[in-house]
Amino acid sequence: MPTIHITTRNGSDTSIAVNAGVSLMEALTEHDLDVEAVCGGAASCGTCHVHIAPDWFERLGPREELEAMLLDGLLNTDETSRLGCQITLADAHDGLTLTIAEVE
Amino acid sequence: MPETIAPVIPDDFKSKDLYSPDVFANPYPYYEHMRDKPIQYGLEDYPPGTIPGVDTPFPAWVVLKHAEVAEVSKKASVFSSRDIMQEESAAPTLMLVNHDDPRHAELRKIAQLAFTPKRVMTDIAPWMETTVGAQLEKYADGQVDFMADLAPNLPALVMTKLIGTPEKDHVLLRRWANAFMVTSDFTIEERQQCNVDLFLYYTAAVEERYADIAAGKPVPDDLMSAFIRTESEGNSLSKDEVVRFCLTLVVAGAETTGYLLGNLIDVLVDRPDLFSLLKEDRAQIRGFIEESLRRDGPVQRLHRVCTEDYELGGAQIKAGDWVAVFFASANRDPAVFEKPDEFILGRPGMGKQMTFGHGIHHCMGSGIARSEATQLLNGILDRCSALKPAGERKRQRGGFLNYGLETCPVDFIR
Repeated sequence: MPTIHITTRNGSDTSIAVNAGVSLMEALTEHDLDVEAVCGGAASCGTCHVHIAPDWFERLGPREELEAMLLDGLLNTDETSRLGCQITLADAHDGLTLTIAEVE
Repeated sequence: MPETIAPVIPDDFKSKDLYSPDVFANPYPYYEHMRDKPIQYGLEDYPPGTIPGVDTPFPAWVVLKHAEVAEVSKKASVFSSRDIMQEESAAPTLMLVNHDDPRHAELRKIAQLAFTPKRVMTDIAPWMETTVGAQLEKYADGQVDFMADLAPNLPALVMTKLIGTPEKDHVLLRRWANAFMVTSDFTIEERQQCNVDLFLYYTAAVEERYADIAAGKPVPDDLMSAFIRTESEGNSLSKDEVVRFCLTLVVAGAETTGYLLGNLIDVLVDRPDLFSLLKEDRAQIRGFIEESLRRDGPVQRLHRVCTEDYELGGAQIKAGDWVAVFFASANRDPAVFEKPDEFILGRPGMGKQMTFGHGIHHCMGSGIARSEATQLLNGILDRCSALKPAGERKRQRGGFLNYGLETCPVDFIR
C-alpha cells in the first residue's frame, strides 16, 4: 500500500496510505481532504487540481490533451500542475508528494 | 427569512404529494419528513420547457439522501439525462443538459473553453464589475424590491454578453427563461408563446451571424461565434444545435442565478452581523456564497431516466423509470451537514454541497454564477452601510425547479 504525502489548503502536512489502482482524486476525496472533485473524474471541472513535487512530476508521465486543455484554463496553475483524476495510483507512487491547489 | 413557520405535515404524506405550491415555497421540512423513509415512486413533475396542463409528466422515484443523490449523479451511464418528455413537448430540446456520453463529452469540450476560470476572470469579470456598478447606481438606493430588477437583470445581461446579442434584449431573456423553467405563474398560452419566441430569437441571431461570417465581416469573439467556428472546424455542430446551445445557456443560467442572488440578499437582510463582517473582511464573501448555495441553493431537483434495472437505497428501479434527484435535499442531509438548516459561515465539508450537481453534468457556468454573486455583494458592500427589510418577502410558488424569492423588499442604506 503506497503512502503519499500531502500539503493541504490550510498548509498542514499529512500522509495517507492509498490503494493502488484508484485515482489520486479518489484517494484525496476518500480521506476528506477538501477536494471537491465535482465532475467525478471526467477532467471537466478542475477541482482536483494538485501541484506535484518537482522531483515526482516527470515520473507520473505526460498530461493527456483534455487534461492539458483544462489546466490551461485555470488560474492557479504552475509547471507541475496535474488533475488528480487523471493519475492512477500504483505501488511505484510510494512517497509521492503534492500540494492541493487553491480553489479557483 | 420568509415562511419560517413549520408546516404541519400529515402522517400519510407521500413523495408524490411534494408537487404543491406550499412545498415549492418551503420544501425543506418536507424533505426532512421524507428523507429517512424508503425511496418512493410517483412524483409527477415538469422538466424545464414542458408545460403543466399541456404535457403529461412521467411518475418518478424521489431521491432525497445525499449519498443516493451522489450515487445517481455519478452513474451517468445508468441514469440517463435524455429527457423524453421534453423531446415530445413543443419546447426546444436542450444541449448538453439532456445529452449522454459520448456526445455529451464532445459538446462539453466545445462549450467549456468559454467558461474556464481564466476566461471568466479576464474576459467577463471586468465587464461584470462595470455592469454591476451601473445596475446598483440605477436601482440600489432606498426601498426597492430586489427581485423586480436587480436580481434578474444581472444574469440576463451576462447571457447577452457571453452569447453575443444586444444588451437591451436582456429583458426578453428574463421573461423567456422564467417561462421555460416552469417557475413563474404564466398561463399555458404565455409559456407556449415564450418558448416559440425564444427559439425564433436565437434562430434569427444565429442566421445573421452565419451570414456575417459568410460575407467576411468581422464578428465578435463570443460564444455564438465559437459555436459556429466549431462547426466549420468539422466538429459537427449543426446550425440547429448552435441555436439550441445558445438558448440552453439562457435558460440554464439566467433565472437560476437570479434566485441565487435573491437568496443571498435574504440572508444579509436578516443578519446585519454578517453584513458587517463581510463589509470588513471581503475574503469571507466566498464562504458566504458557498453556504448560501448549500442551504438555499435555487435548483431543487433534476430528472434522470434509469437505463437498466437498478437497486438504489433498497428501491428496485426498473429500466425506463424516471428518477427525480433532489440536490437541495442532499444539501440539508444531517448525515453530511451538521445542523443543516442553520446558516453557518465557514462550516466544514463545503465541497460536498451539490447545488451545481455532481458528476459529468456538473454546472459548467458555476464559475460565472459565483462571479456574479461576488461582484454583486462587493458592489453592495462598497455602496451601502446597511441593508434592511422593507416589507414581506415571499417565495415563489409556481414550480419546483427553483427555490427563491418572488418579492424581496429591501432598504439600501447608503
